[in-house]
Amino acid sequence: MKKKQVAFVMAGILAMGTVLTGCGNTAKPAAEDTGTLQEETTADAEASEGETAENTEPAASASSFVPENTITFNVSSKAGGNSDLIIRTITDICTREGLVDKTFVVNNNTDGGGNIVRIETQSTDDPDHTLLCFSSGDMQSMLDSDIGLKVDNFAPIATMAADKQLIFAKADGKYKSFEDIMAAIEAGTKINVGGTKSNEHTVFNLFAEEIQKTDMFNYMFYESSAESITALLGDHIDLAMGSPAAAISYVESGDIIPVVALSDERFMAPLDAAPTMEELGYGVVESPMWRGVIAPGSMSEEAQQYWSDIFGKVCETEAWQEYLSTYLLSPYYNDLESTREIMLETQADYLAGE
Amino acid sequence: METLSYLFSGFQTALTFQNIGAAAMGAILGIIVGAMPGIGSLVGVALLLPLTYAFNPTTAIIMLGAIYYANMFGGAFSSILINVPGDAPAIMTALDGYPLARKGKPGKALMAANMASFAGGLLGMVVLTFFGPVLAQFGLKFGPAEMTTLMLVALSSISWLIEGDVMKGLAATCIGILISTIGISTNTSAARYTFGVVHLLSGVNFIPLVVGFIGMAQVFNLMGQQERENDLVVSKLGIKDCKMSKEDISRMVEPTVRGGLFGSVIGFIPGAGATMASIVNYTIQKKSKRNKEKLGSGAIEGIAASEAANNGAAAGAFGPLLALGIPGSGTTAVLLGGLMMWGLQPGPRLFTDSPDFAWGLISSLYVSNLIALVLALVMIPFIMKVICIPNRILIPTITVVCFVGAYASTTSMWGVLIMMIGGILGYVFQRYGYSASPMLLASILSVTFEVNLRRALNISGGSPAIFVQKPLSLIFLLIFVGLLFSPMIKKAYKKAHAEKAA
Repeated sequence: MKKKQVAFVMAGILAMGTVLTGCGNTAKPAAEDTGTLQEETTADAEASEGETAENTEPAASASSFVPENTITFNVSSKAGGNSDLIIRTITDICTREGLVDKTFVVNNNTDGGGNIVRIETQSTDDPDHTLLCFSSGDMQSMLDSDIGLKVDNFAPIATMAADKQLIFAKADGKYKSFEDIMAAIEAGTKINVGGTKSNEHTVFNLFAEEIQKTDMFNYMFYESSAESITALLGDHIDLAMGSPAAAISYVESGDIIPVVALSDERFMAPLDAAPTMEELGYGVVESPMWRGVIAPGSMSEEAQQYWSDIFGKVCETEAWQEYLSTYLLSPYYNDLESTREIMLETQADYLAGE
Repeated sequence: METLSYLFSGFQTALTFQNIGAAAMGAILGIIVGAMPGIGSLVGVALLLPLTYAFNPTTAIIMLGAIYYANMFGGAFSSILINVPGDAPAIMTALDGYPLARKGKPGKALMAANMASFAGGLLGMVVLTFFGPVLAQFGLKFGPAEMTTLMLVALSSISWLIEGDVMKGLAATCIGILISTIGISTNTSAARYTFGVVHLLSGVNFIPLVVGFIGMAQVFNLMGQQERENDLVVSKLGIKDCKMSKEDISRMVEPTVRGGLFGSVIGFIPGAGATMASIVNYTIQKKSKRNKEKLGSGAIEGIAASEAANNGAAAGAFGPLLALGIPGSGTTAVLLGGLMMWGLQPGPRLFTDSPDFAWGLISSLYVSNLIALVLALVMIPFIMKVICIPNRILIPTITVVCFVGAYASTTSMWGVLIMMIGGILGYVFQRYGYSASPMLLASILSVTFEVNLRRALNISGGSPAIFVQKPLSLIFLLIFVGLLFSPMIKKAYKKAHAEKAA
């Protein structure tokens, strides 16, 4: 009889906990308050179960969250886009390696330049099971729009990979080295550069500032590195920005040459022909284009820690190494703390540059 | 000759049992996906990409190529039978295909569309096989200045599409240009005409707009009509109704040959594509003096012009992809992603590094073209009966198709909303005698025009001299000026002639 009563009380407490958690999810504006409330009720329930003292410690320990529902992974690119590929690789590894035993649903939505899916993520009903692919390129489109969302509204979970850039010239073009470019600028020639809107633009501006020639370049926006390299091949621009993956085959075929590596070290062959800015006698110029994962701001701390750990494990798998080498990306995993720092820094850089 | 031997060794790859099977499966899937409005080749290829994981890279890419290619066949079915374009390149097919089907000749319309698709595609492939690398290099010459003046020529050809009231035609054109400016501008990142609506930041999605503008408007139109009169006539459709007469075939020759060649060249230019090719070829056809019937009223020439050009362009789009690694269209961009997933590096070295793969793919295009034709021809006698469906069943069916299509192309309700607004706008257009094609053409062309105009002026530091200094651009500019003044010159010539005679 007594056992039954205890069970009844426990069930009641657990039910209350569930109800309170449910309330927390629907009352979005007060997300932070209900977040703490939720932690308390979990702690209460655990205490009443009469388990060891360890479990009553702050609920941030890694083991305290396990996904219970289907996980929605929001992606702001089309199926087959770069952001889509990275997320499908991650979810695939999670499932195949048995890291997560619930199903992932990848939701592609490009509406409003990706901003709709950001709003949806931020205001989801199930914050612990909602993730969003986020890159420094997405940051720009988010800040450019007037939806009023910033990194601060989200919980940064992890950065997964990074892409650094190089400046390329046509092999039989006017400028074949950094010295050629400088000589032309000294002679008063304006140089046409093509690249994408996101990091390529940011890092090129940093480059122009470093050599103190910001007004000697015409930066033209292209939709993708492939487009700007096409324009370079057709002699329509003098220099093109590009990531290793986008450019390597043209370097191998001898159509274009890398001129400057915008990184703290040289790239691998055959891109190693380009010197870094440090070697050329300037400061380091780089702005890694990172790709990672963020979550709604209302995701519980336990869940944040859980996902951060899971993605850390993903980065240690062979399949992930294979993905990185296929797309010539640099490994760039960061934990919760550093991810937040990196994302806030990118945001500050961008807002300052506007 | 070297090319031929490569091609034959390619056929050896393509004609293995496994690869023919893959091409046939791809062709069937492609026709089905293509016939479903909203699910164009882009979504189709992306959706079916995982299906190919089980195969080796060559077989997989052959299947994807077949899907992409057969899509252009499938798009015509829904255009002709229910006036809802299956995908964007089939818009112009609906303009003549649907009226012809309504005249009780759906079989003939479908036959014409598929024969033109086959022939246009075949021409495109021949061009691809023999001039691929050369044309890919030529495509590179199209920089901002050249694209600007080319678009200028294309935009001025809109005047040929305008029927009846010139002012109404111009108004429709302006609305098209206006719609294309909505969203974040490529050149400056400035948001234009978004009125604080987040969804509008990425612009108005073209596919739902077209599905609404043509398909949904059609529903509104049908609702206002009595049960259609020709039900009795068409209910006796048989296989013999699909037969094309010798005259029909000879009428198709001109638009098909031009479409195939012209389309494949357009396919080679990065940033153009099948939709642009079919619209422009249709426009040129409209100007031709050899049309037996007026285009837009169910002329077989119109169907052929549109279908031949979009299949030619679909074949041509493989040129830049294979020769330079540059995707010529959204779908080839997905294919590119597929290639990379198998560790193949498309790009300038593909032909030297993996010749069996590159030539296997080209040869398989011929195979899938033939398979798609055979499949389509087998389907026609059955599928054409759709035209006999009475309005009370047809209206809800098309409505569902429009909703599903609009949703599928954007995977959001926003697409459905655009489709509905497009439908209302399209109905108003029809009701008050504004034609749809100038609007659609303008909204496609003006985006390319604006982006390139601003890029060109940025390169030249604001000087318009850049358009005259580049030889290709100068040629287009002269054509443009010629087009502009041709009516006046003609008039002056006639006058002089008349005076002489007098």
